[in-house]
Amino acid sequence: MLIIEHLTKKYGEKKAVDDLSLHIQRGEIYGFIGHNGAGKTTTLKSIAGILQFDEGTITVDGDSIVDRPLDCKKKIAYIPDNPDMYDFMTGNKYLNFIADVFGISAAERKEKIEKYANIFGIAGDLSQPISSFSHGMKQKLAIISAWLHSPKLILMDEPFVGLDPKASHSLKEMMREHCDNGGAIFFSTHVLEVAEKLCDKIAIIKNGRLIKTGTMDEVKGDDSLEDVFLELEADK
Amino acid sequence: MFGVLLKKQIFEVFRSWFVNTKTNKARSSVSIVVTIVLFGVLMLGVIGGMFAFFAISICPAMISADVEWLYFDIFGLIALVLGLFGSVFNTFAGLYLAKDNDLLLSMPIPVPMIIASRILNVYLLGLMYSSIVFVPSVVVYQIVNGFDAAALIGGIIMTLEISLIVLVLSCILGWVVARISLKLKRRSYATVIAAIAFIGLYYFVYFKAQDMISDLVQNAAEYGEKIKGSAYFVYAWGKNATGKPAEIAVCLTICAVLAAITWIILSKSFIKIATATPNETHVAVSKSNQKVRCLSSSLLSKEFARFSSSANYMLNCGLGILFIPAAGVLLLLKGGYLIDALSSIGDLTAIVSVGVAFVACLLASMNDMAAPSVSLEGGSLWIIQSLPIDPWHVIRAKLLVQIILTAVPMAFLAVCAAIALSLSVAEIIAVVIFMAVVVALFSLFAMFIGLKMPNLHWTNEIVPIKQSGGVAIVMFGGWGYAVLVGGGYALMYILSVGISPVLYLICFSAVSAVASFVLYRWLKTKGADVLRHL
Repeated sequence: MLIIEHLTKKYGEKKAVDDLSLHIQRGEIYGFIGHNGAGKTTTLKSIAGILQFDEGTITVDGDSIVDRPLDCKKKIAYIPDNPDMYDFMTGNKYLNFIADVFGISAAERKEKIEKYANIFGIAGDLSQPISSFSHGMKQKLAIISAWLHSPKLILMDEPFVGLDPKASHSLKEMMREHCDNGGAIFFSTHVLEVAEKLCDKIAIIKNGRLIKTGTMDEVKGDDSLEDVFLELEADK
Repeated sequence: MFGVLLKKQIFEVFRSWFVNTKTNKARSSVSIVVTIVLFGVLMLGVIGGMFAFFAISICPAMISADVEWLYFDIFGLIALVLGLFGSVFNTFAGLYLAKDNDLLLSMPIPVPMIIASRILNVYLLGLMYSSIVFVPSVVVYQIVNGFDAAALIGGIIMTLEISLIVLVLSCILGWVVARISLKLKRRSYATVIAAIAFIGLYYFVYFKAQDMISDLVQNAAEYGEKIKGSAYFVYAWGKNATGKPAEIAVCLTICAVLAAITWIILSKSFIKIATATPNETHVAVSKSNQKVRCLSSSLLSKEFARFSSSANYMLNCGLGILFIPAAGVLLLLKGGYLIDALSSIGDLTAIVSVGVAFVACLLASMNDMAAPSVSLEGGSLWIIQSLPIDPWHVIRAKLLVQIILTAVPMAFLAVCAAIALSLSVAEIIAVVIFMAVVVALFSLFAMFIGLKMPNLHWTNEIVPIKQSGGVAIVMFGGWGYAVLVGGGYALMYILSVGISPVLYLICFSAVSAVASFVLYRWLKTKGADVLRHL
């Protein structure tokens, strides 16, 4: 589904991502962990086509993000760590805008908006301006908009931040359901317990370089993910 | 406690002296000094000097007519209007929408103290604007009349009274706006309408005031007697600036009562308004609120929604929407006078079409909503960058907003000009083609500058809308283009170059169309690339 080969992104002289290669298959929830500033967001933004990178290739379901950006983006949904959205729109207008971009029919969008808005308990708030939404509500709106067009690959940057326990639980269920239906998810998180329970595979990044990747068992063995992560972080 | 709040509030008022509001970084010492000096020169030297000059021109006549109080009344009124103009727009936001309202209300600070510190903010602005008018009049009076300690004290007291009345009026207006805002759904429109009405009233009074003041000065003694007999407070108000204890006591009492009433109203309603959420209706998801649009229409709708959501955006970048049709109406009403005036100068009626083109350029430059539109994406830029949207489509939607909002009023202006100035068919065609090209050129140029000079890291939307170099370049560029059109033809006329206005406009349109095409190509190719990778 997602193939990243030798991805390198520099900010000036500093390499934010350094020769990163990663393959994500259909049906996989792939966790991405690393310290602050390790290069997680840069990697996710590069896959989403927001950032230009210096070296390497990224293909989503066979389409290169550089050569065929629009085809690629049709298969992707991206949720940033801090979803700044159009404050001047209501939640409903925003979701309709996203649905228009992906050409979703009125019946389908109604069904999906209703379904996911009810799951997250914001159905009654969608007529309000986004400017009046709390961080958690914006996060929920971003998640609904991501699920709206049934993307093949969902990219999420710290998706659980700001969500209440019920919404977190719902999101985990939605993630699993999405991957069981043949989709794939690549998400970053600092909540290692969640990553440990939810992810099929995990990638650990440090100073822009991928230092460990594989199935959960391959990465952590008999230890906890936290112990492995702290040990890897401590290594020079 | 109050001292801490006061210090914070004063720093907020004068923050722009110490912090660059564009980059949000502290200014250097040199920059701070230059900013303060420039501000001082502007306020004291230019505006204060202007009012001192005015005071010098009327003070001797007023003193000799023995109506010094009328002299102070005139300046008091001007100071009141300017002070109100300077502070009224900040009152609502400053009192009720301050970002730290929740923070302060959650701390162990008495609410009256928070209100007082907020009001002080409004008071300082009002005092600054009104003093710049009134203090020069007091100084000039002391010079012309000779030093008079009582009049000096009276002048100082009246300055404070004026600032107090400005504060009272600003607070009441702010309170009214706040009450209305809580009930309105489209608050930005209400703000725009209120602002335009206030600006209109201000300029109406400003232009009428010149005639009224010159009439007053010429007949000072006569009017003085009439006012003295029929409007005692007006007389007493001016008289208290000359240092008369009885009038000072009356005026101070009235000001104090007004201030006390205002304080009671504000303190009783502050928490309710500051913490209220506007009237909101919760609507369930239904098929009726799922409108399906094509991508282009959806993007255009998004851009229109962005424009109409912000009073700042509409007032600073869209005044042409009002002024262009207003010019058309003016032409219908006064077009005959214009033709008569041009006929009396010589046979200048032939060049009237160039004049219309010149005015059209000036007015079109008042619409520059495309210029800050990229910057206004701000933190939400990731949405259009991560969605499968061709960046050119986004640019086109931003462009179309300006084109539509300028072309429609411009078409109205063209119809009015054709009727009012009896333009020939050839002139009408030339003017319409010229206007169409100008609308396209200005919009494309605004978009070009918007992409070349983006500022995505603002904390207040007023920075990209009003304080950006790009917007200034677009506006002044429009003026420059107007000068080129009008001045170019005037030069040819003086040099007796035999080119008809119609041919001149067609030639100008052709050159402008070429420039527009170049900009269009750039936006479609390189511009789209710039937006993709911002």
